[in-house]
Amino acid sequence: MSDTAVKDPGAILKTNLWTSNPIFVQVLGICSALAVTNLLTNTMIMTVGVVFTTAMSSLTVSLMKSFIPRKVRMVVQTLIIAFYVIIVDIVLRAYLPEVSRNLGPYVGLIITNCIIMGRAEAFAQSNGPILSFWDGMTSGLGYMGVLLAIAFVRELLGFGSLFGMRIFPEGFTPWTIMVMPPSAFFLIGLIVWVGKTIMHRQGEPVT
Amino acid sequence: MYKDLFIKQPIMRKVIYSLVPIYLFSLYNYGWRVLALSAVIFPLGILTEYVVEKTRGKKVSEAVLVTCMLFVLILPPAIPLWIAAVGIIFGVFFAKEVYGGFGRNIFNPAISARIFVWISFPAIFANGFMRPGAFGTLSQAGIDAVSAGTPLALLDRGEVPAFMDVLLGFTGGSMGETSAVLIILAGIYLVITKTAQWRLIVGTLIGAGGVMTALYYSGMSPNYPPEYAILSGSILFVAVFMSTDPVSAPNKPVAQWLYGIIIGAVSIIIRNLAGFPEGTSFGVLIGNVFASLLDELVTKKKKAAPVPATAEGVKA
Amino acid sequence: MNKQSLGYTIVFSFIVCFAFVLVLSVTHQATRDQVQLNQELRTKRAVLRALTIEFQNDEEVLELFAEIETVTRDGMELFRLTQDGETRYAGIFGGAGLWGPINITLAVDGSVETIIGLDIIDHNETPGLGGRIDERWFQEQFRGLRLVDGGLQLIRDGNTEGEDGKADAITGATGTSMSMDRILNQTLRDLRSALGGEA
Repeated sequence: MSDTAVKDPGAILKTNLWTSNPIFVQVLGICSALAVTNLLTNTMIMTVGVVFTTAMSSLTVSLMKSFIPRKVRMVVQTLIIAFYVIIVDIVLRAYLPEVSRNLGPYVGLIITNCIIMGRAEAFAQSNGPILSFWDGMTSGLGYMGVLLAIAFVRELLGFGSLFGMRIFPEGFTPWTIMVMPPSAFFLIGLIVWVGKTIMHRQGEPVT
Repeated sequence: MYKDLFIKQPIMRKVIYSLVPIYLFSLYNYGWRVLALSAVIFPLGILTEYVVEKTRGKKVSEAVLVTCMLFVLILPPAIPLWIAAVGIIFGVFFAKEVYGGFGRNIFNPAISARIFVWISFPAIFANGFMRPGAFGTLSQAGIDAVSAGTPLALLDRGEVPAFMDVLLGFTGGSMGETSAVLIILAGIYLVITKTAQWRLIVGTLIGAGGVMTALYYSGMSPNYPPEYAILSGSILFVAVFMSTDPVSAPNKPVAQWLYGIIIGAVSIIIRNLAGFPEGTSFGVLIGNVFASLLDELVTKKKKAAPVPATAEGVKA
Repeated sequence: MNKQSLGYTIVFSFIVCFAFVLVLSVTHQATRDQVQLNQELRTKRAVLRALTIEFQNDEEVLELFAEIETVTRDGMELFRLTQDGETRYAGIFGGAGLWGPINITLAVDGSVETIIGLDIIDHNETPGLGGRIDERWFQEQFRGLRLVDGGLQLIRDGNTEGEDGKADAITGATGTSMSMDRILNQTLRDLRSALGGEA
């Protein structure tokens, strides 16, 4: 374990997936949560992209932290994040062209996802590379879990399918609103509500 | 039993009384479908409110009955029952209970319910209109779609329906919104019994009428002569029953005028100039957004004088 | 060395930028051919679908497309397929929809009297309403549709199956249906004036 560790990996996992989940506790990255969650496949690939970017950029920031001059710290972090996002974008365009078209500008907009910058600044800047990688990855997973839950409901009701496979029979009436971004507001609201209620019952301090 | 379940709300009862003739008229027009929809909507609406209020240790408000009744009357007659069920649960839960129950909701629950199901199932809505009369035996949903077009759909195509039909309500449309005469009578009853605020009703009609006349004479929307546009569709119904919802409307007179005008004007602008035919429903929701803001603005103006004075005093 | 000094900051920034951009350029170069191939495949698939030619996978797309000639008429790039003595033309067209551009491929016979097929490449119409132009039933009603007076009409509230020059509009989506009507008729006019010389 790195000597700069301030937390153990288990605690980080719990914090990032649950007690300060990026979506329903910190309410970060909502834009993409509304925009790309109407199909599970797209959501899956998008969130894998986010997990990759957060993990790798946290790792890189942590590795480079002792060389980065303070004045350009944020700029360098942004550069690192942008670098990984562009890699994700290029790979998608070359090998998954359909998904890349469906996600449209949202892959590029991973750069603006506050979760990544937040982890780089709040954690990777002051912790060792392996822990930072773990922290970035679990943050991404916390984001992924919520988005997949939203996409599950939206695809099921909006298209009658899951991962493109038809679940409901042909006669099923799709719920158009689930295809459109506003429905994610209701679903995120519900998730925040349920999440906080459970935390409250467990006696966690509710923020 | 009833007393254990409901909070008594005399104002809401009067609204229900005023809706009875319209309800009976829709019963004549569409027969068993009205009863079937009511049988689904009322129990589910009450149940939704009951379940949430129980966790708060409170009783169900009679306002939910008004919400259910209004929701029945603003649906197209041939709508599938399960859609009505989804709508009322959504409306009562998300538009009312989530905000803390009766008296705290920003948006009108019945309109929210309608907008939710309309956006979710637009094709079914468009096919849900029927020819009215003879207890709903005149046409089958979907099959007779052309003759069952709403007056607004006819006007869109440049056909002008008979004026008396529009006035009396023998036209296609949502179940309770067609009869201008009955709605006006209900409105008069509500105003006389001081249940509804007349400024809200008149404000909505002024907003709608003004924009409509302007559009008609400027040639931007020449298919809608103003007198038809105000009598057909749901403008009147909205003015009498939706703008006047005491919970979601503002309380100050000036704010009430502005609120009504916003609803009326926005309704017509969306109905005639945007891609959506659901102008009035959106109009009400947009009006709802401004309700408390309008109250606030009106109050601020009056209090504006003393505030800087105290600030001056501190400085000195 | 002072890490906060101006000189270090400049040198550091330069090296970091250079290193990252270099890696990106290499990745971009390595995948460029694949990206280009993807774009070509998209166009070719759409053209084949409009010409109602069945295909299973990407190899078949390229194979089948090899039989199609690319010709230019009136500055329009058209795809010509001659099969069993009949000539068919397909092209990529577009126009304004309700919310954004609608891009289509449309295939017609040599004399522009019958539509062979229609494929929607992309659009931004309302999901569940105008967005239903994506659906099979909407596109398939144009297969083999004979035109009347060189044009067609989208009819609301009707069942137009088997009628020449008519297709069903989408219920509740007046704006999109009107846009499709306009785009299709404009495309047909353009095609006729471009192909008029032949036949």
